[in-house]
Amino acid sequence: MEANSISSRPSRAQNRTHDLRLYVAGSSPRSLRAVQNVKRICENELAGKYSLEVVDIYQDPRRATEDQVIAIPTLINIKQAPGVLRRLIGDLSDTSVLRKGLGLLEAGPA
Amino acid sequence: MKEKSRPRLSKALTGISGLDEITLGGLPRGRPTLICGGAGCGKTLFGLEFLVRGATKFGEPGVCISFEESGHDLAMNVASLGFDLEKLQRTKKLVIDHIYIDKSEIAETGEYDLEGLFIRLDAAINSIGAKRVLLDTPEALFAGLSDVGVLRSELRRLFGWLKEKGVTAVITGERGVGTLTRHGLEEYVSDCVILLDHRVQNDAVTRRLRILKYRGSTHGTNEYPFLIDEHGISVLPVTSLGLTHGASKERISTGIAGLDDMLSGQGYFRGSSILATGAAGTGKTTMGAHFVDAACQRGESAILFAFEESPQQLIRNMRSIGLDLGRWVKKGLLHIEAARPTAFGLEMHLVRMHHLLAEYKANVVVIDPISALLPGGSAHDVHALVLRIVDFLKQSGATGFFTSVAVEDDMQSTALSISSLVDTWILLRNIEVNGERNRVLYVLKSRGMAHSNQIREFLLTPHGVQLRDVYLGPGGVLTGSARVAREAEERRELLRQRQSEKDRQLSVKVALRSLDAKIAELQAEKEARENQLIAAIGENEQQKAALLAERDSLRRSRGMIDSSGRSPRPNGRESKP
Repeated sequence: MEANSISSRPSRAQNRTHDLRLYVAGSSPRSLRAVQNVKRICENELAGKYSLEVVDIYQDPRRATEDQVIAIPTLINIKQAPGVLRRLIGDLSDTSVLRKGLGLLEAGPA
Repeated sequence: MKEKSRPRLSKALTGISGLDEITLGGLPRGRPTLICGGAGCGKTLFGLEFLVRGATKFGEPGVCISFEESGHDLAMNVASLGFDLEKLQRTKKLVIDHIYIDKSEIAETGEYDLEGLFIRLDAAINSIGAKRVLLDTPEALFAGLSDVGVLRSELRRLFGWLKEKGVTAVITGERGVGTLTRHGLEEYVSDCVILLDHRVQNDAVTRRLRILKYRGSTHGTNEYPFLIDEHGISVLPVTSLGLTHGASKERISTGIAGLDDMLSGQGYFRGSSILATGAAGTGKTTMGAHFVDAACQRGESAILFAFEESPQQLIRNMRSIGLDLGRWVKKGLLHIEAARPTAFGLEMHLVRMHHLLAEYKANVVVIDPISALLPGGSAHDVHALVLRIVDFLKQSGATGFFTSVAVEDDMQSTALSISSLVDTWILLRNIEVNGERNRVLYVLKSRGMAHSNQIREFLLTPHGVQLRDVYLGPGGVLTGSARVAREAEERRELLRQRQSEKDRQLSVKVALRSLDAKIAELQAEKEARENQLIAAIGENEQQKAALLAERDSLRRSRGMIDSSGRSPRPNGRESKP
């Protein structure tokens, strides 16, 4: 599973505000889009404050069961912050929903 | 994992008691089956029993994808039915995956599919080599996810995928308004659809099952009652499709000598079904009691289901006609099971009968009256009920005696609905005439034996039921005091006949005697004539002799005769007299 996880930017746990896990299905276009979308926003706004693990359910179906994943792609907030939704499903193409889901609403462009 | 091409539809036994009979072998193998019904109708239990029986009886492991209850809750719920889901999971015969979606913690952004569900299902199936799958109920997805378009296409894909995978699947769905399932799952599952429901009828709940559709197979199309008890689900087929029960040649007494005579002198066939119909007070219960009494006298075990009287009341009443049922109860040969028909639903009554029959190993079962089970029930209901009871009694080899209350005007419709089900049908009637009401009975039919075509009056005497001959008068059958009067008249008639017989004999004798006298007289006359004849002949001879003597003396005197006395007779002429 480590092979599938991407820790984009090494950061120490105590500094992090977001621990994210993204479930994808292989390299489907939708999955690739989701990875791009979450990476872009994290790099732009959460640099150094997040970790992102990408799990391919084809490689590791058991984890989908453990995390109650059925929809693909699913982004899970492991570390719960106030006002942060636990799950986002879809290719994360709706940036405003994604930002809201990550608790980034007030930081976004007006 | 392509579905193999099969010339004939292969079926997977469910192991659910009764269901495999009406589906003629179970659910379509390798295809999905939809089970739909309202809340609490037993869908989940149906699915779980399908998995459990598959795992325990047929060596087919199963996967349960539960969208509503956790594995633990499911295990708790079915533990009372003797299903140990946890043990099955430990022994790799069952996998339960609880899929849980909390809409409040989910936001949707952009496109998605349900590949996660497929992967989880696939992983579960592969982990134990499952052959059976239960999805209970995928409609819960509609509550958790908002993109209906995606859900629909994904469900369609899911059912296709299940077929491709070759697993026998059961999918449950909650009944919607005007549709089989709320979200139209029936659109995707087209091979087999089974509908469950439970209805309150006269304050009692009856669960029913119906096969709406079974592509490529014949199946029972009726509504079948089913029940859920400590043995799981039991579907009660309206009729066993095989009709394979054996037929005994043994005959057993009806307990009433006159009635035995009417049934070619030997009574009913063992294992047959007897129906006694009649209006109130025609003596139906009494006939049942006689039958039970006769069985106990033979040392057989009997059960009497009484729906109108308590055991004590029944025993007291039967004592008044000389039947002591109490001693059989004490001996343990007779069990009287009394309950108000409204105490349970129809299905519970049937189950109780099943259980008691097994418990007491009864040879004879009396249900008094069977019609009480369906107050106001239609002829069709009675038909279905009798058929089911008849079937299970026959399968267990017990002889069934049922009474049924029938309004006399209604006899024809009863005839239509029941006649084909029972082997022997006895009709009891009241005949009202001359200010009296009298009981008569006749055997309407009795399969496989010669039986009387007579209408017989019967009396309830202190020594039980006794049958009387029935006299036909100008106004029809004579019963009661009209019969008694007729009997007296007949005795008088007999007496008269005897008297005139004597008279006739006497007169003939007199005539004979006078003839004898005449004969004697004639005889005497005859003798007299004979004597006269003899006398006449004698006289003639004498005259002849005298004539000869005269002639001789004449010749002698002429010297024509020698001393020898012979004439020389020169010619014959002279010698002629």
